[in-house]
Amino acid sequence: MISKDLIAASSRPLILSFLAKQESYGYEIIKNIQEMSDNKIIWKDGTIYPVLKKLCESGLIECEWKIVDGRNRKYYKITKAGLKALNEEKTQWQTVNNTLNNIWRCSNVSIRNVFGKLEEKTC
Amino acid sequence: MFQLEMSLENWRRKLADSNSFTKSDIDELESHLLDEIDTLKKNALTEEEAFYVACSRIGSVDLLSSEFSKINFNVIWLKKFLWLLSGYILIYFFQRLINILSVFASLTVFRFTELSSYKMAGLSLLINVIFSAIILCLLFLPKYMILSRLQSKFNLLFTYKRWLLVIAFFLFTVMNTIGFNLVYAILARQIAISPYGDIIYGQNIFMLIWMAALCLLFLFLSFKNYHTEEKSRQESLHH
Repeated sequence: MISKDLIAASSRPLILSFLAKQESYGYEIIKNIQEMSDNKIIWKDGTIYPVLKKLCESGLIECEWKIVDGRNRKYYKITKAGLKALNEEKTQWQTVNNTLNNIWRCSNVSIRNVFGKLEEKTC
Repeated sequence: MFQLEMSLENWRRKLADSNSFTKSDIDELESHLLDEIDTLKKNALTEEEAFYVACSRIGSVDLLSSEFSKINFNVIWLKKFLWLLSGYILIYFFQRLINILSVFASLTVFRFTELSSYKMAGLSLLINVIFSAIILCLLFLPKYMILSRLQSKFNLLFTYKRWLLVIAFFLFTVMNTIGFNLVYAILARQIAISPYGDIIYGQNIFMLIWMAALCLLFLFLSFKNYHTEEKSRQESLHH
């Protein structure tokens, strides 16, 4: 299970990335992301909808009511602005990811010691 | 027997009562709930079990409303404002209604008894007190609880049939202004200016008493709160 804070922080890029692939509705987004994360990212279901609404209001996605299989559903679609925002998110998350990997890789890394000297460290 | 329709209706009503959702929010959440119920039923749950599991998965009404209230700020503000406004319109409506009743009473029942000016004011005061007491009892006594029923009706109208709310507002406003003025125009022909002045005098005295009572109530409540807070603070210090 992933911590609540991280889930909250990652909901925006996750939703944008999923919607970049296909048009979809809340329930489908939740279930798909849950599956893709091996049941590790589980939103308390209802809480995704305020996020979707906020994204709608900022124009990153647009919504439309459709009747599918006899059920009224609100479908979301990514906009151009959304794709642009997604690209920015991508670089930011990749930076975080790369940085963490660099630290964890445990190879020879130059780390500045307290006196400002560069030291070669091995682990 | 479990009835899905009824339970869904209750659930929607709870959401509408919590003041944080728009109609489209509730529709969307309901459609999610139905999808979840379908999935659960495929896993051999009964409809009733599926409903309760789906409700708990989607999150409690409190959790949902706290999340939604962050983004529906404008709607919530508008709702509070309209609720206050409807209070004002209703109070004004009853005030004028009682006023007309006083005038009417002096024109019919007390038509042939020449009432002195004090008695006329007293009569108007009495009518005011009686009717206000009846209205207050209806609004606040636990037996009737019209206030809470009124609020839940207001919530339903605000979320689902806003045009009906607008019409109600419009009708009350028309009644408060043009309607009552027409009634006055008919009654005023038959009543002299001085007894009418006495009636208004009685009403003003009632307003004064009413305000004083409200102030006292407010003082009493804040004093009581202060007292209990002080007590709990001392208790926590002891611990």
